[in-house]
Amino acid sequence: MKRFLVFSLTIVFILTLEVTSFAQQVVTLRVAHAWEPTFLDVQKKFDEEFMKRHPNIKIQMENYSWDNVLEKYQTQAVAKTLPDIFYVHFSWAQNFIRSGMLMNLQSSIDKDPSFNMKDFFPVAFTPFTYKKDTYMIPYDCGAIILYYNVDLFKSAGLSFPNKNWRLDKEFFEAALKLTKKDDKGNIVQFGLDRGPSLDSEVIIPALKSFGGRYMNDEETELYLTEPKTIAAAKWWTDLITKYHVAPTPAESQGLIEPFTFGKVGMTFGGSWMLERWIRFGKFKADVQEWPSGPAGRFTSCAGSGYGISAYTKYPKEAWIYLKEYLSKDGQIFMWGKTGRGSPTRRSAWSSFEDAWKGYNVKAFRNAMNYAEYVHPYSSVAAQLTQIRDREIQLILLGKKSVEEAFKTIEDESIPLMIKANK
Amino acid sequence: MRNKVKVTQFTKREHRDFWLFISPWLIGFIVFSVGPIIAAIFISLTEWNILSPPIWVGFNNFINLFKDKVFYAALINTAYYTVGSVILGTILALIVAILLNQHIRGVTIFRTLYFLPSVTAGVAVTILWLWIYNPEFGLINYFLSLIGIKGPQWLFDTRWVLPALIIMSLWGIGSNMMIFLAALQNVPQELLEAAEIDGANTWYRFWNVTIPMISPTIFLVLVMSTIGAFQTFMQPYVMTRGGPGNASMLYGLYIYFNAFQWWKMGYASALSWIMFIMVFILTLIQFRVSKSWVYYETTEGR
Repeated sequence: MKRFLVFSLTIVFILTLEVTSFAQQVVTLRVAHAWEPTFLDVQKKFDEEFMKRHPNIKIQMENYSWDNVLEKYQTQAVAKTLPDIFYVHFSWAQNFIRSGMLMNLQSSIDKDPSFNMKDFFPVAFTPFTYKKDTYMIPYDCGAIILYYNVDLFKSAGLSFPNKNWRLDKEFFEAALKLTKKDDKGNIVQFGLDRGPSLDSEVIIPALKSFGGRYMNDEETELYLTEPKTIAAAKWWTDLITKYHVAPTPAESQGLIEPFTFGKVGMTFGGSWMLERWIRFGKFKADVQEWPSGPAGRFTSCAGSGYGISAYTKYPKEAWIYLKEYLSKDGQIFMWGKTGRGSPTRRSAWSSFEDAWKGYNVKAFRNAMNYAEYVHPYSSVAAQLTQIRDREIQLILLGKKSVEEAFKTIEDESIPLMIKANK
Repeated sequence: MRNKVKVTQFTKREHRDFWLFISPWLIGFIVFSVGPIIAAIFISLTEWNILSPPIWVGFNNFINLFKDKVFYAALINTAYYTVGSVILGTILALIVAILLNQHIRGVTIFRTLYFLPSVTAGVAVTILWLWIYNPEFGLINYFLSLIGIKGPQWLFDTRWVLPALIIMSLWGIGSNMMIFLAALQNVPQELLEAAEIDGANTWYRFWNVTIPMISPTIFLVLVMSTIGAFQTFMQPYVMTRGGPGNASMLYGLYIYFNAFQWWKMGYASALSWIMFIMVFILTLIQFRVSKSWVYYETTEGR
């Protein structure tokens, strides 16, 4: 009996040791970002705090240059060496999801009420879902709204943009008045920059404001040859080709964002441009919601997110990190307080507003209530974008009419869209 | 007999050392060049977006390629760019090399200055040229305006974009200039002197002595420049993205777009193979034609 007791106690002791050592096993998670170097300290601080809260999870941060992050992921995906958690730009999301690179997060979200999906702006998830399942969690989502140079408005004697502004009235008149020429007739200041470009971020509100439309939500149809769409596009492109209140592509060549140089009265952009245009600009600027058009007020929004690799060995720990990283507190710490990006959680938004006190950043939040996600974001988005931008550039250079260019866009894009949705 | 054994051992050791010394390059060549080339044959017969397993499509990529309007545009643009940049670049590099081969004071400084652009980072130079070509405040149009000429829109004009890229390519003539300079300095002085004694003027000496003597170098520069021009990618990628329209869509850029922007690796591999075959045939033609104008001092040299 005594021998049996000693034997049993020994077994229990060994088992306890095993269990304890298993419980203390440290898991290392590789987390990849694409931050600019100046933002890395914030990231490191978050990871340190996380590791204090979770001593069994070690975070190995990897930061990739924005210029080659996509190629890096492509290579890692082929080699199945993707980081456990990684940054994803919205335009890559559908390709990543459909290729099986990302873990389906839906069951983790459903099982975890503390994650509180209702706190998020629903539109922010648009490109990150597939067949109603969520594969990535967006960390920022910014509506595209109007930026204006306060100094230039003041010197032109114009009142600042307000919520009642109309595109075809106050906005147009301001663009005309803000455009200035020197004695030789050379334009030295433009009223407007972006808008006539009809690029991904602006094309939806630009066309819809005048009753036109771009493509359907499923990205299976284009509406570019509809008369109202053509008329809307003409209104915008006329701002360059007829009124010359915005620089032509040739005039803005070599200048990445002409608004940055303080020689443009108005432009459109997302919340991520606040830092460049308001904090570091050598002029005073502010923001206002997208002016309404004859058909109403519209805008689009875009952002990025984080996903968990389908090849991770530690899905449970990865979810713990992702959940905390994109929790209310995580978003406040990373993007709200720093003013780096407009949070996707409503509860974290006031911290972003505090970071930009004195500016009308509420306009971004208001716009999020009616914004729709930018298009295209399907698996052929890059090619569709290239075709559209190429043709619109030809319109702005006076080489093609809107009708011709839009017909070409449809002819070349629709077969790709059909194939992508097969 | 003893001697014979020694020679054999020496030869064996020589062989072993040869393979030993050449092995780093050989391994690199097999792994990083031959491997991908063979892999590209397989990939060109598939539809592959990199992330999902490739789907076998047979020769569909090659068939689709011949129905692709942008493929033909890229082909024509690349031919135009190659002819322009190779001919102008070679002539200019030779002229500069001849000028810098003169025995004048400070010639070393000039040689350095002309070679400097060749060692400047590509993207930085490209951005610089982006500003030079700016139709509103660019240097070229500014100088043209001083003599009353309104300059073109350069990179935004379908007719001028390729000439603009060709002009820009001349910025990098430094490397070829150095090769020509070395060749010019190897032209036997006694031949030039003999020609001079025979009454040949400068032009005759250049045309009948210098050119034949450096013809192998001219041939090398032509072959290498042609291959390089076919592969041009960075300049149109940074400056025009193939625009306006498809006016500056060069072949290398189109391959890049297909492979890394549009995730069509199979199609891009098919394009690459077509380019490889074209460059290969062109180089063969160049070698065949070279027999009629390239002079080698030894017949083995051919």
